[in-house]
Amino acid sequence: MEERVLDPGTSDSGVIKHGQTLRIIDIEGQQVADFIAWRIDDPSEYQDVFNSNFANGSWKIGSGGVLVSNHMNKFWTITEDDCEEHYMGGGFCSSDLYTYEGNPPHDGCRDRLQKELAKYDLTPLHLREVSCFNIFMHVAYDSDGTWEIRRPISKAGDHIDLRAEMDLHWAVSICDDPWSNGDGPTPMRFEFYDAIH
Amino acid sequence: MSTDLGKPLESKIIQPNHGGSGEIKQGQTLRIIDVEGQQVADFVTIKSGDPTEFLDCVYTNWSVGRYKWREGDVLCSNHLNPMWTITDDKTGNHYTGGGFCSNDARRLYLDNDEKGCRDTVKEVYRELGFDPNLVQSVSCFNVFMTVNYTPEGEWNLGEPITRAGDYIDLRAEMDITWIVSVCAWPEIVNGDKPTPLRFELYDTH
Repeated sequence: MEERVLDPGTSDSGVIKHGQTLRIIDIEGQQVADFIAWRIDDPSEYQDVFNSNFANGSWKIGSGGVLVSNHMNKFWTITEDDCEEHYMGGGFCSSDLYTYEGNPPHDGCRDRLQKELAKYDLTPLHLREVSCFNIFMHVAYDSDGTWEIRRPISKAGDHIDLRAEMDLHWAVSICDDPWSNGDGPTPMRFEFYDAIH
Repeated sequence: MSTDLGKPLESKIIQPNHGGSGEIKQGQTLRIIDVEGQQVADFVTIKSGDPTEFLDCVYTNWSVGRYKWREGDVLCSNHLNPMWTITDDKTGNHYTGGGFCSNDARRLYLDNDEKGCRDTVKEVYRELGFDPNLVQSVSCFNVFMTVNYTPEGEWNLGEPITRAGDYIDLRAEMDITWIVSVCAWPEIVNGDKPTPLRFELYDTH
């Protein structure tokens, strides 16, 4: 029905109806998207990756997995997933993180998503860290306790399909941080489909 | 061996399914004691009086490079400012992924309508005059909670390893308001029986 190519360091948002599918394509591979959603009629109900881990019984999500809200209602079902390596711990990169790591101030995904929320008259405080589904981001939880960002394993053309289980607002920031995106940030494509799945 | 911090300035027992809060000044230490063992605290931290700056479990995982926090680790805020240092820790076993149990989770998984830790924390926010919508799941440090992870993706609740009297000491690195819900989820997450926790405030300047 619609498609958009989004460059790294940019953000976008929109509406999806119950039953429609959003396909997110990693065009060149190894690219991360910080993806949030909230209920169209109630911004106080938002995507919750912690509750989704609880619901899925796993911190890894892939085909057949669900993303639920802070009220445990289903937001999305993953109907296809070429990669099955995403980060489900929540959180965003931010200007604070750039500064902390010794880089010049630079908008991160948190800053960009706060600007997306402002388009809907939502304050920055409506952005919850637990809302962020870090698509294609590769974070290891090793058994020795290590928490480490690793190179994404998504290949050029890999996609994930999210079927909306209710009417939702979504917003995304295409990450351009130097830690998460392989050899460098690249664009992603967002495609919207009517209920074909 | 216990670290001798002297005589506490304040001490309070909080029962399961109850909330509590306190103020702590930079340099003071909060000791959280598992009185009977195997009890979890959903422990939220904000900058004193300012719920817009909160403990950020994800940024702390980032900055310490581990999801298993231990003695000497500095826990930081959403602005990456130091909030606490773990100065003593009898178990080194906590859940650092954020999040709470809730009435929603109880209705879905336990088929009962009781409140959960998120609801209790929101009540405490209201009592303190803060907007309960500002509660951030990422700010919850699940003290003494066992979550089993495997690198392959397993994520499930386990039994706490704390024994009666085990504690964690947190030294405040800024002036802090802390808010807690002593978890009453009935399954093994609290060793099958929720029990009280004790919170002791020490001057450790």
